[in-house]
Amino acid sequence: MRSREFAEVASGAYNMALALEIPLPVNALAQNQTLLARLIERAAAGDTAAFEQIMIHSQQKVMAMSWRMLGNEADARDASQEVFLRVYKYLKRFKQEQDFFAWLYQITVNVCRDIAKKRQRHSDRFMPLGVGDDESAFAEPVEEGNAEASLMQSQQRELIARALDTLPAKERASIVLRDVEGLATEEVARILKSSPTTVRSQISSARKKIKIYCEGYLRRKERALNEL
Amino acid sequence: MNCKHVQELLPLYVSRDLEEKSAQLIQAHLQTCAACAASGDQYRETRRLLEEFATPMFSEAVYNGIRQNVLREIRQESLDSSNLPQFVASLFPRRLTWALAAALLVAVAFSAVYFIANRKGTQTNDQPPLAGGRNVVDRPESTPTKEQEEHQATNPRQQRAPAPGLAGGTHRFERRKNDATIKRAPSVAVKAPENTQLIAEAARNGNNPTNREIQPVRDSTETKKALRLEIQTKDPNIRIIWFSAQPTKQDSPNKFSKGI
Repeated sequence: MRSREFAEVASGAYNMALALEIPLPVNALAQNQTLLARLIERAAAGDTAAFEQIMIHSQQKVMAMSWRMLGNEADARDASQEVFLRVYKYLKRFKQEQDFFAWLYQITVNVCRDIAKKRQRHSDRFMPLGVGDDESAFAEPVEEGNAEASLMQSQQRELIARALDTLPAKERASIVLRDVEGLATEEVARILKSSPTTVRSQISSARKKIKIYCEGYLRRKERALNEL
Repeated sequence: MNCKHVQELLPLYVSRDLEEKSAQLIQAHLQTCAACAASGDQYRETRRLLEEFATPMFSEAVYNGIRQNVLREIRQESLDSSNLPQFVASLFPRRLTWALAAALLVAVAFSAVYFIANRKGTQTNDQPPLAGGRNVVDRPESTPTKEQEEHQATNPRQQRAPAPGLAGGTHRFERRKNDATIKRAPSVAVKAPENTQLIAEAARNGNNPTNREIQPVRDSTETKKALRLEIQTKDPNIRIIWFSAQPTKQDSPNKFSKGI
């Protein structure tokens, strides 16, 4: 299984966790899993302190997934809260032999789907990042002398976010889990309670649409530059 | 493999989601077709953007707020569950609770049916059995009709033999040869079922007891004030009916009512 493991920097600087991607040694992974299993056991028995540790351990994945599914920080926050409430409620049903993060993704996808259905999706809802969202929510460090790179990165992020917004919910979930989260097709199928064939079909369709959207965006941009 | 087929499979080819045989055929085609090769590059670029699609890094305050809200909700729910009904409900699994509720409902319904059935049976047993199975009607006293009064005046009383099977009381009757008059009978403490149709038989011709006229069913309001008793003997041809009217000044102390 292909997965991204994040090294948690000591001193609780959780906002730096995403900046580092270090494959952990096998024994460290095993230790993490044992620790997580113990926390789950205690939280299922009603220990809220243990549940808080679980939240700390998984809040970034949940928030990131929610943001990619819903496209804005406010909805992502609501979704994350709902996800953790459902996790606490159904933790007793969780079996230790299951993959906790696959189960967590499943709940996140369902919650995001519910929220997307409830709220009306406007065509102009997807605003450029930094507009409409609380700017203080972002703690993105900007390196000195690299403002142009940061701007380009920001524009690319906006492009992909808008392209994802044009996709139907099922295709969006498939492509985010497969390409953004880096999960295998079979695992995506298990999370979405679908078949690998269906997931491949959805991924294929989603990639075509994103490619067409990006081509159109770049063509418009080029035309605008030529007019100038 | 033609370009159309390759274009369909390219999105899966770039992420190695195809079977090896199909992937090899596509690879061979891309080496000879520039247009399909360019499409392949575009798909790779899109996939790269998706992989590098990093979520903006949210501050610790955002995560802290999420955790605090969740813990507050959990504490609130645990306080709500301290209510007795919710506490009791939480002891039982949902299915068991429903099963117990259904069983309780069935038990209550069964008890109600049993109680009602027993009560009806008790009411039926309270009524005295009579020969022929007729019920005795207890009618309150009423003012005798004009015809009855005339008959009372003209026909002497006669003693009748007590009707067999009559429950309770000692009733003495005189059987008359012609028009029978029956002594006033004490009111019998029996109750007739509601809406019982009474057939009032009165002889127009008092000398011929067989000449009977059946009067139409009287409205219960008419007989409200008269005590009327009707007894069917073992002999189907003999039926004893007597009335008890309110004593008036003109009547003799031994008031008798018209009978047949």
